[in-house]
Amino acid sequence: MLEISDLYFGYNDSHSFIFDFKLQPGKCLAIKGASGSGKSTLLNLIAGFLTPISGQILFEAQRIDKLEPAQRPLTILFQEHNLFNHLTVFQNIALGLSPSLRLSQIQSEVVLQALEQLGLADMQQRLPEDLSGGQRQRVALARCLVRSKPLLLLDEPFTGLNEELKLDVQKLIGQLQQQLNLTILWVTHDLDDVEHIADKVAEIENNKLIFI
Amino acid sequence: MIYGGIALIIIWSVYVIASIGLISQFEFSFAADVLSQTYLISVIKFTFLQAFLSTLISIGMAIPIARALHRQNFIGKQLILIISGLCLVIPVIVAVLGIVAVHGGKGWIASAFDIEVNYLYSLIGILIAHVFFNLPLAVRVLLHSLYTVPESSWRLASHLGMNSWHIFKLLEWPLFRNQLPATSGLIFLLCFTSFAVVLVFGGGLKYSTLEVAIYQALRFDFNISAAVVLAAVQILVCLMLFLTMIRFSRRFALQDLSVRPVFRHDGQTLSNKLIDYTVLSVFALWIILPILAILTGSITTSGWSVVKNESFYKAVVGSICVSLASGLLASVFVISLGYLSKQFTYSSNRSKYKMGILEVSVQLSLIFPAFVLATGLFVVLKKHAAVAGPIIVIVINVLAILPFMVRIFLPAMLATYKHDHLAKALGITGLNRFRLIDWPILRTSFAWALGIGLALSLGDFSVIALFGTQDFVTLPLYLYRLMGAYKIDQATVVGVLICILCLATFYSCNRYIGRIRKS
Repeated sequence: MLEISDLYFGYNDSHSFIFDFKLQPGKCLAIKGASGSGKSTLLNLIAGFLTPISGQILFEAQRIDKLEPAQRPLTILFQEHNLFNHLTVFQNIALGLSPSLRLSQIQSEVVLQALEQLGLADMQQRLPEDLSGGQRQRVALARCLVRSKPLLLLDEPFTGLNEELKLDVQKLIGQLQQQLNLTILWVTHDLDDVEHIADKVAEIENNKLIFI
Repeated sequence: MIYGGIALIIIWSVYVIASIGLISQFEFSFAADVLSQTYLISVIKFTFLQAFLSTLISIGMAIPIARALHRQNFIGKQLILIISGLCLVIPVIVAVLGIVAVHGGKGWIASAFDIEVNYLYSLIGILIAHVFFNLPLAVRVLLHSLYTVPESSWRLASHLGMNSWHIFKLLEWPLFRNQLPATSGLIFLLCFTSFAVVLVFGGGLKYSTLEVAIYQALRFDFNISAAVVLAAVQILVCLMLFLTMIRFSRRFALQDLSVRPVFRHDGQTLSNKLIDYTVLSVFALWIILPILAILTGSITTSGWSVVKNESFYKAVVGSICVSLASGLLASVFVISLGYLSKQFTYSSNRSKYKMGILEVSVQLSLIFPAFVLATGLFVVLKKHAAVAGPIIVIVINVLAILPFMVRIFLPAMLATYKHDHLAKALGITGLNRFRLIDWPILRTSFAWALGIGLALSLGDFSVIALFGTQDFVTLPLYLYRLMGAYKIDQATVVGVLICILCLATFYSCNRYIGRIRKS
């Protein structure tokens, strides 16, 4: 279970947030809010890119807010810049397993399996610039898959995708959630994007998370 | 972060050590002597005058040339732009040689018109050389700003029937007005601190600038007190100019000029075509002739005998050693300061104050006269005189090329920030982060910065004039000595070789370090 307990963070005195909620394992929470409402701030706090002033983040009853971003039991899909443009599709996925890109035989096979599973097998030597927006998100999802972490954070992952590609990526996320029993925290400005997957919906209002 | 901090401390230490060295040698009575001399007043007056006129002519000529280059499309336009780019990197002492070959007493102009030419070794010669370097710079900055106007604006101007004057007033002048303060400031600063040009074409009581006067006080009189007074005046003026430039801190790009054909109806009338092509012809001749003079001079003369001299090879080795040491040291500083700058720009406790300190530290060499800095260091290191010269020349070179290298490198370094979150999320840190993520993004800019740094060091002719000996000599100093001995044929060959070395270095850096390897 993901447990956010009195998590307080402020950019300055007049722009601060306090979050307090729980999310059961294998469930998906959709968080809606206008631009600048604090959606991404919440994800950045959980992912470890921002340091809270006070409060705790627990996962499976263990505190994770003191861990380095890479040590936390989560993987994240950003709005943009999910891939390194100078690295191939294979290398981008492999970074999920080894930050030095030195892979064992088993790790290489895991990457190949992920490529196969997400329909990217024939694109492994391509660079991100040679892929469509949907294909790029698939690669990023493949990396999430190989990292095999129980918590998935999604920060408006449909930005820049057309309706058809949105449905494609949506379907993939649903499949991954079922297959890996992922707990998902999905930030969006459009609830239509997430209505088929979300178990709970919340909104950030007046710098607090309110369940709808 | 820590390496950037160390780099900053080292830079400031150099300035502090040099200042301590100077102050320890300062004697008030000598200084008062210098201050009371009319010589100082005339040097200051002349320094201002030549810098002001050089700036005025460069900017005044750049406006019609940039307009003409923008609104006319013709074969050879790209070539003119390439040569104008070459003028920015050609070593000063080599260009000076080319200008002598064109404008000298036995130069092309004298031969072509069969007239006596004797204007070169005066204010006019200094202005010719300064305009040769700075006119292309101003043209490129103004032209770059014209290319930022969307094509639709020119179509709209045509649709509304705007004539050439209307277009200048409503479209072009507002762009130029934004660029001119910073560009004029930079050109004035470059001319104000100009050394090699004034040393060759000026000198003496009548045509000395502060920089040359400082050199003469140190080289011939070894009067450090006088040099300190002259330097104080120069630092004060440069500081004021520098602060004014920061006030108008519209930075122009040290970047490729991407030229695309633009259709402008105001360039199609016969009168405007006539004006434009006349202006362009003058500009083309202005920048091409000195370069051509050096090239043809090297082909037709017997100057190649210079390569048989042992001293020539000493100069080659000296140049390569100084350039490599300066370039590599500066690279370490540039990368360290780049990371520090990224930290200052994007950290949650970012501050303009810290960033300001970093920028000023990097650009201190623009306001601190190289000779004074060198003398201060020499005073401290004089017990180790045998190694002091080369060390000081390298240190001064590093500080001199740092502003250019940082300006080229910094945008790429800041661009690596977009991967910060992803790299942290994946645990890619330290050497892995540099090797896999940052270096592929940085290598193109780094190679360009290093290429520029090495080429500038190879062509540098400043403090080497003070510390050069029979054993420690670089190619620009060697060329200057050949010119002084009236061995112009040999000097021309050395000039061409310096250019070839600079271009080969620049090309090699970009080809072998900057290439983007696609996996």
